[in-house]
Amino acid sequence: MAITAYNSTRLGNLTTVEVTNDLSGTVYFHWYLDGCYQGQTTAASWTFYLPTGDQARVECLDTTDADFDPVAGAPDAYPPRRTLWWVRSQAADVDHYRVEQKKDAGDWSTIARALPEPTQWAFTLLTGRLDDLATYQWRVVPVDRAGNDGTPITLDAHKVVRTPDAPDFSISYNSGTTKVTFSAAS
Amino acid sequence: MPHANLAADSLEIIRDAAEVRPLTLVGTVPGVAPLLAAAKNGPGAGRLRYDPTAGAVQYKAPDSSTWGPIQKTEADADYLLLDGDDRDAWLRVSVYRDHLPAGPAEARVLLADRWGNGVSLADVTAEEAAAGDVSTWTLTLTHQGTHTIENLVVWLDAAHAGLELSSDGVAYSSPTTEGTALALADLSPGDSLTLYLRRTIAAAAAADPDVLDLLHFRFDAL
Repeated sequence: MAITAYNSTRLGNLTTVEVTNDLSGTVYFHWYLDGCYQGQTTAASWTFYLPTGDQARVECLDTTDADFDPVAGAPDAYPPRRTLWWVRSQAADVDHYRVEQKKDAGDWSTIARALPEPTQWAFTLLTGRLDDLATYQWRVVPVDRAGNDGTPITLDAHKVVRTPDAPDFSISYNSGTTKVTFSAAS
Repeated sequence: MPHANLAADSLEIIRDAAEVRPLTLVGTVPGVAPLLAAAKNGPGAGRLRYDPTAGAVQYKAPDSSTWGPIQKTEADADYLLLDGDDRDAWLRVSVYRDHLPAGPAEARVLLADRWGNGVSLADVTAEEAAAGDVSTWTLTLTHQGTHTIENLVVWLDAAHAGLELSSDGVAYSSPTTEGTALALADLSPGDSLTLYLRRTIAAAAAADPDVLDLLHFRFDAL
């Protein structure tokens, strides 16, 4: 696998990333946003939603292996986002789904509304960046055409721990040799 | 959460009144709602497929080379889909026949490790690591099947980080093999027992946001 170049173009809240690679034949591109798997394409580009002022790290793995496992083969990461995924309500009159997030002991706040297609079975939403050492909860509330809330699906609370310790080392300067020496702490 | 009520799925692990989900899950075919993936699946990409001619679904766990047995979907109900190589790598699903596709369908089921859920409570913050930390909690093991569970044992993954187990909350141990596993009481259908866990982080330990403690269970359902 070898991605040789990344090129990104931003238009409003949509960012398109194109990659160049050196594989031939049918190539499968696997896309990760801040370490969270987003999906697979056979085209060398991916467009994603990124609000004004937000940033994200995009990684792409290219392979000719149609059975490549994008989870087991994912790049090492401490994702500051979570992928929310749910299956549609069985109620026939769902107008939309309201996705809410709660941080620590705060109140629920709406982070997205999902409008279902008639035949859509499952939904995916990537959260915004989450703060380290904060505890988050999410719930998905089906809302009917009259505006009534249905029974929400609540996900387990999750504490985000992703910041590893800084490396522990010492630095010394030798004026005789004018060299700086970095030493790992014992 | 309903159970498919098969032997492999009969031991329910509960923490804080909610069933422990060892893995996060994304992906399915229309008409099939995944409920829970067994820890034995491990992380990776499994596959799920539906054959309308046979009226059946099948599952293949990550790294498996064999589709599991055909599961007929003759009614809207919960089913346990077994992997073809390892029957302990299963997927519990609900099937809604009105939403099943008209043609064959296959989907990837992406499974990822889950932290902080009572079984894999292992995220260590820098603050906890600097000060040291002792956490204790309990899991409730409930028998949801129809046969008696015997020879129930539990042990830790060899890579566990300071985790100990106890059947009484007094005497703790850290068995890391099935041979030295902690033996628990037999369970009749509907019975429950409490498993005590304790995690100790020595002061001045290194923080690690990516350590996963795993519990292994084995039992006979006769």
